[in-house]
Amino acid sequence: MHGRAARTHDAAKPKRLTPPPIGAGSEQEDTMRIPAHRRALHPRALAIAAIAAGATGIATAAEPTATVVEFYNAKLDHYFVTAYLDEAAMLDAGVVVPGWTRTGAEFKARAGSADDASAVPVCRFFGTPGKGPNSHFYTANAAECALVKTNPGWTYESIAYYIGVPDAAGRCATGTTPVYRSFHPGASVSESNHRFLVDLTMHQKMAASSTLEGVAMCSPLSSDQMKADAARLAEQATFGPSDALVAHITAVGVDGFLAEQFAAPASAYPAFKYVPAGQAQTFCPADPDPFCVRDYYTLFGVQNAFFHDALAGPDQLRQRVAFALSQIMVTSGTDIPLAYGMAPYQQIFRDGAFGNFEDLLTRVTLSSVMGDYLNMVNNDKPVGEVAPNENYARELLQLFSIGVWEVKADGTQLTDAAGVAIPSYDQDTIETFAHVFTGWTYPLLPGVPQRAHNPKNFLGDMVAVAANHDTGAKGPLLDGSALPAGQPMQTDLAQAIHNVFVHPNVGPFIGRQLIQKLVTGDPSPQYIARVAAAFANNGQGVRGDLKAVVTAVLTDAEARGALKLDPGYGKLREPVLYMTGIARALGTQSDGVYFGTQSGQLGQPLFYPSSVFNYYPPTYVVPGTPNVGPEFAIQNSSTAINRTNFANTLAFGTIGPLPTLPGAIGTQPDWSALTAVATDANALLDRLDALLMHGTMGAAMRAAILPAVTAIPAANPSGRAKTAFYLVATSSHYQVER
Amino acid sequence: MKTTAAPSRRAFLRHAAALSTLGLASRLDLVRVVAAAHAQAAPATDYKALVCVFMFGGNDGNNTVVPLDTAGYGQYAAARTAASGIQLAQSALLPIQPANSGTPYGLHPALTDLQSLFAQKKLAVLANVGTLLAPTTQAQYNAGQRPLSLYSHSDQQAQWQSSISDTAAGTGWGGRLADQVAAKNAASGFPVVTSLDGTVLYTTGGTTVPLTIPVSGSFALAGYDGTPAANARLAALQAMQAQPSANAFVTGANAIGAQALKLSATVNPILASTTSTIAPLFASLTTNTAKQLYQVAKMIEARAATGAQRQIFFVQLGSFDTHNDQANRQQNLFAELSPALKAFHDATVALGVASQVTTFTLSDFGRTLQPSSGGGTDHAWGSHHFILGDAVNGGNLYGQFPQLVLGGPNDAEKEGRWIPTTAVDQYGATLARWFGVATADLAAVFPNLAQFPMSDLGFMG
Repeated sequence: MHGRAARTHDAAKPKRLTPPPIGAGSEQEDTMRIPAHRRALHPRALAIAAIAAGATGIATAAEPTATVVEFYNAKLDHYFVTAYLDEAAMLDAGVVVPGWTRTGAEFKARAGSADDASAVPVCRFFGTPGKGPNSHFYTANAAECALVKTNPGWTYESIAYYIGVPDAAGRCATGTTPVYRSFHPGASVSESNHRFLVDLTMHQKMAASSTLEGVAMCSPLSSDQMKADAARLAEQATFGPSDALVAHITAVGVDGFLAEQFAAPASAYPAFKYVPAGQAQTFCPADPDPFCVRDYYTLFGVQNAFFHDALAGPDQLRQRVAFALSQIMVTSGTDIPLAYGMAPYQQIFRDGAFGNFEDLLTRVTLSSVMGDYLNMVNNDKPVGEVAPNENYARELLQLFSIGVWEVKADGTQLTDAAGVAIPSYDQDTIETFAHVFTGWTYPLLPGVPQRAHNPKNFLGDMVAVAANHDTGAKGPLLDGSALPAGQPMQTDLAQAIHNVFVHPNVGPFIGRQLIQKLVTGDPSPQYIARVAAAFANNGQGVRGDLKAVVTAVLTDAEARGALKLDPGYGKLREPVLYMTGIARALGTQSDGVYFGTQSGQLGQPLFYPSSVFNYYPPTYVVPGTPNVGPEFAIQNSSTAINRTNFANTLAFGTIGPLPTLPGAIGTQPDWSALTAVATDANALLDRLDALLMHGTMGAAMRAAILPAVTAIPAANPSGRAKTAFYLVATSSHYQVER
Repeated sequence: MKTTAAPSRRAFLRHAAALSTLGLASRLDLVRVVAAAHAQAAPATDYKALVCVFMFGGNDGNNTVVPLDTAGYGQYAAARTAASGIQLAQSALLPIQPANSGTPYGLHPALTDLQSLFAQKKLAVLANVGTLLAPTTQAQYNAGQRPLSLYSHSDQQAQWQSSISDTAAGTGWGGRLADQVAAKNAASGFPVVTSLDGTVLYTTGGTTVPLTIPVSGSFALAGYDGTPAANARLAALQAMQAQPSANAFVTGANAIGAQALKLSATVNPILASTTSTIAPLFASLTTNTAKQLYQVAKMIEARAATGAQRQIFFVQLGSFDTHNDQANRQQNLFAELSPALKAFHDATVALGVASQVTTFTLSDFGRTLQPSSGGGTDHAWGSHHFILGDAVNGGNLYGQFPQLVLGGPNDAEKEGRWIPTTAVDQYGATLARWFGVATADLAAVFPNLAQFPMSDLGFMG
């Protein structure tokens, strides 16, 4: 890969250089001249390394002993990294060399060769004044170092630090993370500049102005970074981290944790009693349950089960993926408020979360709940002036599988020769599918004779009534093909579903939404393409393997890492995940009741979305930004206040058991762990920083919170713990997961 | 209205309470009394409000306004057969006679209040309005001149709300309208837009940030009792919201949270008020639509407290996607909508602002004239809408009513999906002009307005 070293060499070749302007030299990189022998690496690093390695034994290698910090100069449009503390301090001070500010990006390295036998020296060069670029250059590649040393445009300065290098395939070893290098040519050679980043999202975006050169180094991860990444995985793959969960993920690693989660059997929704649809007024007075309406004619019990399992169930990832899928293939309690119907519908996603997407699409299509919701049930072949119902046909294509525009594998729109976007289907295609989906009715109730239109009932999948099925030839399907006349209706359905399943949009369309719901709201095309590739082929030639898709979403370099700095990275925690996140952090025991009632107040009434378009659309752009942030569609002044009030109740209130619910326990947070450290306000915030913010609580946030915590006497550690927790939980820095 | 001394508030409240027990028959009296109570107190300011009522799901215009003449009804009944279960009987329709048309029409049987408002010339009908790139003939439609993603809920909602049909818009025409008139609210700083349905595209402007208020329940921040510890906590909350962030989502969440905290102190007492003079008008209505319009009426009533001079409200009613069982479902929806609009109009009369408040409907699209299996209809295009208020040239039908013929001259396809003959842009521009936007500034709100021959449809006088 270091054939790319030539670019560095070339950059120094041209000799027509503009000398640094006299008197303006303080703007320039060439004044960063602390003698190399006086440059100091972080003195604390060695001590920290000793403690971490000794105390936990997590990292087999020693802790990294150097931190490479990035600065940016807006006037020069240059990036600069340094591992030298005094150089960084000089730039921070902005006196000797003004104009440089920290970007927040940094990566770990090693101060000396003794730290890690596999680390190699990194050569640091400076563009020779009057001959080379007004820039610094680093390389861990010995051949490149030797080559650049021969170039008069570059002046060799020192070995700046030691670090790992990728293997021949560009991969970094376990325990390290890639450092990506990009080259910005600038208007002239003197303005050319390299950038080194561990954040792949940011690196990819550099392509707008720079050439992406790939993996240049492999940065050793500190134990803090590994813990932060473990906490981030817990945020993405579960309903929220706890101290114990983060420790567990850190111990077993990302792959180990995913393997455990894939193996965990699905939590099961309880079975709810069959009740006749829409007859609460006549049925319930005779029912022994005095809360019959609530228990059977609303989704109260289904919501409770969801939240109970989200807080306590072992199959966290399965439930997270199920929740995501249930927001793609949407039905709603607004139309079907029957617990006995909605519980099995939601169970489809738990059972199918790691199965094949084609099977899932088939199960959803045949579900009597979906059939009722989108009118595929009792949809008959054309009779007189009455046409087959288009509702399921349209939303299957628009929302559940391919979307309205043809897209490339990276999710961006395809265009025709004239540059115009291409609709992925037209009205004729909708009508074809509407005809395919004719002839299905509700499942038969025991003891009731079969009819062409069975009475409303959700005990099982829809059943076929051949006499109501359009047996003519049906086309066009998505690829322009047609189904032949005279096929059994089950065959028509299976072939039509398969026709949808193999459409190239499905991978990017579904993959993008799974990324959005698990990791980040506005994923890069490259990330989508990598996930879509896993959808297209799980590695064994199978298309639509959701386990492979979920693995690709969660193990991607844009998902992993300790710190994400791209301004468009992350997502507002949707209300359900916001509530479970702060509750799980407190080890909360709950029957789920309070969460169900609050979900609507926060804008996400669980299992009651207002339409098949879900609680919020996947395309919502945060006003005033270029960024897609779907959850912002339900974040407004009213729901924002209610979020804050939810945190207030959890922290300062009492949520007792509902007297009318057998076995109710209410919602009971466990404050002991936080209270134990709360006499020391900073220790309390350290703990909350690690638990809720994976170490990203900045100095400004800490400074804002501290006075409110210390306003409460140290003798009241519970009050301190609750105040600090409330403030972290209500901060935008927590509410936005990144 | 006589300018005699208004009754004291306490006297009025007793009076109102007594009246409210008399039932609906005394409603008109009540309106007069409430109006009298406000005649003196009403601030003599330049105030105007637009109230958008969005019918989510796509209302079936074909069963909302039906021609009653023999030829027109005959066309309707030939396509909407009795066997389909969704034909409205000629005798069941509520007759209206537009003053500007020779053709009699009938409103859906559940729209009794709208029938009387039409007769009182407070309500106008706009026929076959919809999303368009430019005036469009059948031939042009077949040649591909059509809005993006016709017949898709999400896309057509967005286009109705943005008045932009050739690309995905980032702002709505309500929000852009708010940008234009924001200076009117500059003194108070109160947001122009107040939504009862969150941050929908309609409410999103380039510079203005909409307020969302709850349909019911509190808008108060809980947990602050004025103790030093609570005050320190509130200070911390606000300090964090004021901290800049490089992350777009953190910035966005901070902006929403800070606005909520700032306005909750002003707005919560208004919403929580138990002394609103217009409460009796809504007392018998329990629907979500009535609750939303009651909140709107309370905000208008409190305009002196908020300092707002221009307000745009967004109210919504869902479930118009009547793919099945339309006969019952649309009946229930209109039975909710019609009395709620009537109560709201009465409230504006009572508050003395009926000529300063204009209410209008929007929806995703119309629905196919051809019935579909299950007693419903499918997604279509142009549809009919209502405009309500004393400033409206009521009692008229604007636009061109389509010929109700499947595959006929107005049909985009073959199932009765009407090509609109009036554009959303024109509809909105007519309202915007009344709202105070200068002709020269209309293009900033409706960028494609120049595509259409008229920017004023005439229904606003």
